[in-house]
Amino acid sequence: MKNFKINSILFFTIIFIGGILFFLLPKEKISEREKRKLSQLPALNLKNIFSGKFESEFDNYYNDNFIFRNHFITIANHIKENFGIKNNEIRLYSKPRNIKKKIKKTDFVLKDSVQDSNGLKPSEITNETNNESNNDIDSESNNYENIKSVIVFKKRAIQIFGGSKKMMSKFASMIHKYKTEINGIKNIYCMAIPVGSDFYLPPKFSKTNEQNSIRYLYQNMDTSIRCINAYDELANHKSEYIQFNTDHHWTGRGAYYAYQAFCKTAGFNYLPIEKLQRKVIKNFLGTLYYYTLSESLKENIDSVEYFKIPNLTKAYYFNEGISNAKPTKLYAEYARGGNSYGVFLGSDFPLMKIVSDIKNGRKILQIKDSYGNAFAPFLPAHFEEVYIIDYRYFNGNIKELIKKYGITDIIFSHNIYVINSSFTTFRETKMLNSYNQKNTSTKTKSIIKSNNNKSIDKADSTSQKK
Amino acid sequence: MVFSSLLFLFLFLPLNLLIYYSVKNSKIKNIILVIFSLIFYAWGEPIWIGLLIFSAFIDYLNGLFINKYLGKPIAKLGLYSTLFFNLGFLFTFKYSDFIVENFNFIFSTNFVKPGFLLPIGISFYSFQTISYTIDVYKGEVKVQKSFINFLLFVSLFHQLVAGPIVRYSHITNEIKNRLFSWVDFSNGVSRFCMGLFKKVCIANIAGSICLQFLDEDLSSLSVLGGWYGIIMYSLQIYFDFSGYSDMAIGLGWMFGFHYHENFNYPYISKSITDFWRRWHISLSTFFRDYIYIPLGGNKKHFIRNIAIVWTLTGLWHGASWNFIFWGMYFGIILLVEKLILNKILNKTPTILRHVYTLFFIVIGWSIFYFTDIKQLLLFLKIIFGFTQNQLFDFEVQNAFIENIYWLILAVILCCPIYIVVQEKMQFYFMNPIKYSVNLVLDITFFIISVSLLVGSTYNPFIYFRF
Repeated sequence: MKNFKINSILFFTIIFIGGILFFLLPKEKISEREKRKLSQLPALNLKNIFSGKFESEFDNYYNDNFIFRNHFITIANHIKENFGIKNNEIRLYSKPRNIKKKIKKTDFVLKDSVQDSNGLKPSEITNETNNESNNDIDSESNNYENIKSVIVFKKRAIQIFGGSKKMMSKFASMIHKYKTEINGIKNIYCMAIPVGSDFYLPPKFSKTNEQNSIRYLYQNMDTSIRCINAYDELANHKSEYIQFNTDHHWTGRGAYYAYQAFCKTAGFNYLPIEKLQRKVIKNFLGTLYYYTLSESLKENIDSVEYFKIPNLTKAYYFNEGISNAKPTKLYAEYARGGNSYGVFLGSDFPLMKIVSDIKNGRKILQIKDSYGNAFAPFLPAHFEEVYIIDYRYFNGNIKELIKKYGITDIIFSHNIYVINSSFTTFRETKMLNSYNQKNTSTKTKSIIKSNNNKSIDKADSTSQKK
Repeated sequence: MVFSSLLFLFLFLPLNLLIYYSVKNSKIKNIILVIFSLIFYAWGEPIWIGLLIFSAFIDYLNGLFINKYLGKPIAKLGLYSTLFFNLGFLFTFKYSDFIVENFNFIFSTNFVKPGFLLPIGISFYSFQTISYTIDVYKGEVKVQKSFINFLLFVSLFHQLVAGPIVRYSHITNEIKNRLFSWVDFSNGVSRFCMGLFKKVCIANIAGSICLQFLDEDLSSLSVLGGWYGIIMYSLQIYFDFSGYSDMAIGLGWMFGFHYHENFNYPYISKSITDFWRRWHISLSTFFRDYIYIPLGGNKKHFIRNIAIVWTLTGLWHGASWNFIFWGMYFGIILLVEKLILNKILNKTPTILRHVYTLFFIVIGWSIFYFTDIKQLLLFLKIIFGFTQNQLFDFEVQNAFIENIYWLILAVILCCPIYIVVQEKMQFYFMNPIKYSVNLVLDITFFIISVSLLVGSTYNPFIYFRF
């Protein structure tokens, strides 16, 4: 008689003890693996309860802090690994994210599967330095997560590139707008950075060719814009360590070759690599490892190599506006572990200023995404002052900035994904005519917030169309 | 709340079981179940709980009214009132947008869509209460005099959200008196674990694979990719829905309720007529008993009756034209089978009958999937080779091989192998062996499901601020 009781008793014991343990075990605040803040216990009040906010946030809180969560995730990963025969040479990882499939009015099934795959909102990102930019980060994470899939090929993770001519024409005309609207600028440079799918993937796996896209972009550019051929320079050195195996960024060495290409276009003599001080941070598992959790990537762990220019520099950052500089460092040499790429510039500040010991009167403004971080530290070798704007966070007016500091040159340094995002052109056009930060900062934020949402939608649809 | 969530499994369910079984009095037991059901319902959308209780109250009163005047013409008023309110709510909340949209389209007007959120489970509970009042009117069931007990019938969380559509007559006695038996409880646990496994490990996985193929721009979809995608959707919808029904039935057993089966291995059907005897049985029998037969059934206006029933069946699934087309599509096939095909099918080899049936089921699901008719037509053109799209690509080959074991398991679970094995075990083995096999299966299903559920909360961000 007893036998069939066992499964009932065991089942009940598991769910009961699991339920109790949840409240007893300590909770973590941040997930190292996922690079995000874990959801916290929501505030309990009647308003939240009746609006359903409490319930949905409590769900997130419960899921994020579930007992032995990391162990379960590992087990889940092992289970999925065994769903079929895995191709050891090449693996495709597609995570349908941000799926907001329009659900017509049917309550009959599948509602929660959509919720499952939605997971959490991107707003819950680790963001210690500047809470105000949360909305912008959403869009940045969207930029990257629009990437339909990541391929792991020969122990290297590569994003599959997809771009469109329409987006690149838009970007080109945005740069022409800078040319016509800003007076007194000597040179405008444009550097499109490949992300490596041309170099490291057999052509049958990648959908769009990076070289053709960059060529198309440069052909659309007026001759007065000086286009930097970083692609060829990188292609010549593709057997070297120019792209991380486990991260979506390029390496310091990759950035160095782009710097060579820049010097050739701009007419500088570039510093030979031997003259630079080489430093290395070991054991870097990057973002694409955490995206795929692929074991083979772990066997090919990265190290962050960086090259320091011999010049004496002073670095400053601006948290808001274009005055009130605070000191920081060009290299954050304490960066370790999953954050090792942060050695370049330390963080994505809205605006940075580097003062060099060179006295040639030339001042350059670099407009960049996170790829630009590895490139920026070479510029003080040739410019008296370098201003670095992160297009995602800078809310000031570029014309004012140029006027105030007497900037002579501008360089756009973006990877090819960022160039293909309508959010980029939206932000960078906005920065030309931005409002005065101080008076309208709160207003600005809300406008940007609503605009962001729109532009994300657009970015979504364009990236899907490709 | 949904069954396949950690919060339900490790907090709601153990608490519910614990409190429920710690009291002896059956009236208090019912109150506990009602309270838990309301919490379960309110967890998703607290605002609709009022509608649920109000709707239940009206039907409760109508039941009393009809009972009082049973046999007299005035009793019909109660019936009309039930139909008026239930269908009224259903139309207001589920179909008003659709109606306004079409009205605007036809008459070029500009009425604003009301834009109600769909109250969860309304399609299920309105049908349950309608069937109750009709059955009271016909004298087939006794009236329920206690509102708590009636509310229990309407709101019982096992079947409230996603069916099966439980008829009052099925559980009349169990509402008042339920007998506890360990055998039932144990079978309930097994059934629940099985359902959870079907939902989490088959349906959710199939859903994410399906999205890879069908959620992007169709222009780059390959022919085989299209077939693979829609087959994944067919698996998703079956395992999602039948998994839910399994969990509902299993939960019922744990609490002493016995619901009727809702699915009977529909994908092994030998004709579409057969399919509709095996698919969502509680819905098709509802339409049969309350619409088709009262209209005259096979005897009077047979073709008209089929047309009405299947248009309504389609409409029940959602307020969109594609669902209506989907219903009519099956109505037409059923008609053709009845008038012509059945004679031919009877002489056809079984294997061909399966191929025939599955083909039309899968095409049916594509009508169900694409709410946009243009998309649907494009999709059909692609999978039948009327476009220039590739026949085959790396993505589909990869998805097929990488999930081949999982796919085999899914196909096995579509067949009654599990049941057959259970029966064989009953016959050949001693009880202890049978129970230990079941115990291992239950716990394995449960642990795997929980792992995958936790795994689905893994949500890494590629981008982060250093």
